[in-house]
Amino acid sequence: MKKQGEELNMDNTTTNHSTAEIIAQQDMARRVAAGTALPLLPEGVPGPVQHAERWWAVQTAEQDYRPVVDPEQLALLNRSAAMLARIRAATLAGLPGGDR
Amino acid sequence: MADPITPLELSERALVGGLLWQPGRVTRIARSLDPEHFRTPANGAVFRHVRDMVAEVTRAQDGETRANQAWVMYYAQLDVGRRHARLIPESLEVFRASRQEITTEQLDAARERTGLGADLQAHTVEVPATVADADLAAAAADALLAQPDFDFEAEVIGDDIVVGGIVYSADEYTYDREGDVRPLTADERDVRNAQQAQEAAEDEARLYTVPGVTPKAVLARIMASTELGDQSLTAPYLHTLMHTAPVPHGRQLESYALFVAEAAVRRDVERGGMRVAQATEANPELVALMAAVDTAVDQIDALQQRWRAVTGDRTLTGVLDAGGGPITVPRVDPDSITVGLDLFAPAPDERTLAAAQDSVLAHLLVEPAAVARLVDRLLPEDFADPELGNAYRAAIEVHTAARTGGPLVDVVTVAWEQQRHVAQHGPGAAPERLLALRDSTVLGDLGYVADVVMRGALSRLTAQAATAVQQAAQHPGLQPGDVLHTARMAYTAVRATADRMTGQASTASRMSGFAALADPVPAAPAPPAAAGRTTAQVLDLRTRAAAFRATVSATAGTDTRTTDQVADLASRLRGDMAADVGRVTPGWPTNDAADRLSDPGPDL
Repeated sequence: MKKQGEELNMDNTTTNHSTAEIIAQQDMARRVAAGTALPLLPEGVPGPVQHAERWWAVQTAEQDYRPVVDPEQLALLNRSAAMLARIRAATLAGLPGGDR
Repeated sequence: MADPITPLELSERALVGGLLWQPGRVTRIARSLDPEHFRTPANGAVFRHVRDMVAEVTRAQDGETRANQAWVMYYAQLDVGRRHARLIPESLEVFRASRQEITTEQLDAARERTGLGADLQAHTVEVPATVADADLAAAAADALLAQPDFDFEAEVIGDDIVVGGIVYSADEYTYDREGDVRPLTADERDVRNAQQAQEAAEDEARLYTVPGVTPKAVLARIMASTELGDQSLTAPYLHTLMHTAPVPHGRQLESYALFVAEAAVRRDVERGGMRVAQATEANPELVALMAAVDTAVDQIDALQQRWRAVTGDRTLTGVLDAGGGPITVPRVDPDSITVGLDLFAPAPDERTLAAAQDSVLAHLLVEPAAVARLVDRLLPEDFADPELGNAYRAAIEVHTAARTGGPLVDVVTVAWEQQRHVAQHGPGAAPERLLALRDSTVLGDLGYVADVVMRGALSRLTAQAATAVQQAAQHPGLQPGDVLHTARMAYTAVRATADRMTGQASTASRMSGFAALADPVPAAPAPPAAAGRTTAQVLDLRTRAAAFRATVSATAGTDTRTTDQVADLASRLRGDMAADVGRVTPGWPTNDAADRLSDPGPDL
């Protein structure tokens, strides 16, 4: 069975990793809308995004998404995502103690 | 004017306020959220104190519970019917009672050894810590027997209705007069829902009340602590916090915590060199101020153009005929002059400003890379304390040099660098002060404290602008054109600073902002000495001077003319009116026009 990400990956612009790994913001927004990419923050693009099991971000001076390779940035993103996930879980828990 | 607050500030206050109402909720939130995640240090400090107090109380309670806890392994027969289950006291046999935990493995081993199987049970029971170990078994047996029996009616049926062997939910049905059931009417259902909601709220309040953690106790603890930043943590502030948000219910506080965490993540990600979608720090207070300043500048521009159009035709009849009707030159509206000050009501007070300035330096001395985050926004001139401003200037210099292999920013390098600038900018902070700053408590988020310093600068600048404009407007010797020009320059300086604060300025405007700040607002001019000329001559010269100056000013502001044109205008200005202008304002620059582009200089 195909993964959901592969089925919904309709645009043919960029995902070939053998070429330059660049995704335009617009394309990333489409992936987020399709559910194949998961933004760190609810407002999405151009914030950091998890896509194809990697973190992608638009570096401050740039316009397009590139995979995050800087270990410090990766650590920050993983830490932040974990924290937000914990709080979201607490928010969604229906009853006191429901998230235990 | 009420203090406008950002959505983030509102979320922070609502979260902390909610925790003051129901401190017990902090335990779950504090698993993910730290005080450092709050943008406003005062809110983070309240959060930290509440968290610590609740943790202490919980620890004490846990200790007490543990001390009063005993494990008991027993055999008992149960009297079990369709609607009840009861332990038969005569059958109870305590095998073992202990203050130590009886583990599942121990229970399993005992079950196997005795052959009693699942009839052998182990529980925790409450036995006061004062009971001696010798009496523990008897006390544990009493505790077991004192436990309430299972009651089907109370625990399963509750207040539901049983008619003809069928249970009807009391949420939907009630008895009718014939001993049967009927559905609740809408009104009855509303009443029941309201009752249940109230009971749930009372349950929550009870559940999340922590003995000893009251707003008053929190305040006392904050007052007793000597840390920086608690200056804004007063009883009225806590009161405001508690009334910012309604009494918490459900998952509301966790939602607020999520907003606070998201904002913290946004700041971190942006700081980490990656882009985020939302501006991390919207500042409605600044937006409102700038809207007013922009309006004032627009009005001044319009007036300036009109004045020039009118005075361009020097004959009285021409002036009167222009526009086809009587013309009155509008006065500068005092309201538009003071509006900036009024809007800036929530400027930081002196103590907050001083603490923020100290904190900016403390941040820089502890975390050298922080300079890079501030250098585009915060200028040394923004500091109200010139010593700290000079220390900051030195830090920037060291940081810039560090990029090309120089040493990093620290107490020693900053102190060393400061002395190089003494001649130009005055003394910096003494080494002792730098050391004290480095070792002092860092007050919250760097972005926040930098904002406080900049708001202070903006406040001072706006006040100076308003004063300069008012003085100019009331000056009997000044032509309206001069007044308008002064006003425009003053407000442009405010605008430049605000642009830096919001990070929207181009490099060029930052540079000009820098220049404007170096001498933020032209000092009020001295009364003109017009001896040797007739009034008409002086007025005529003034009109022409104003027109020239306005043109030069416009050129400097919009940068649409070439330097040659500016130089030409300036030379004509000097040639025509040097004697008069020079006498009126000794400070009027006589060097080349390029200087004037970066430094507006004093006005008439």
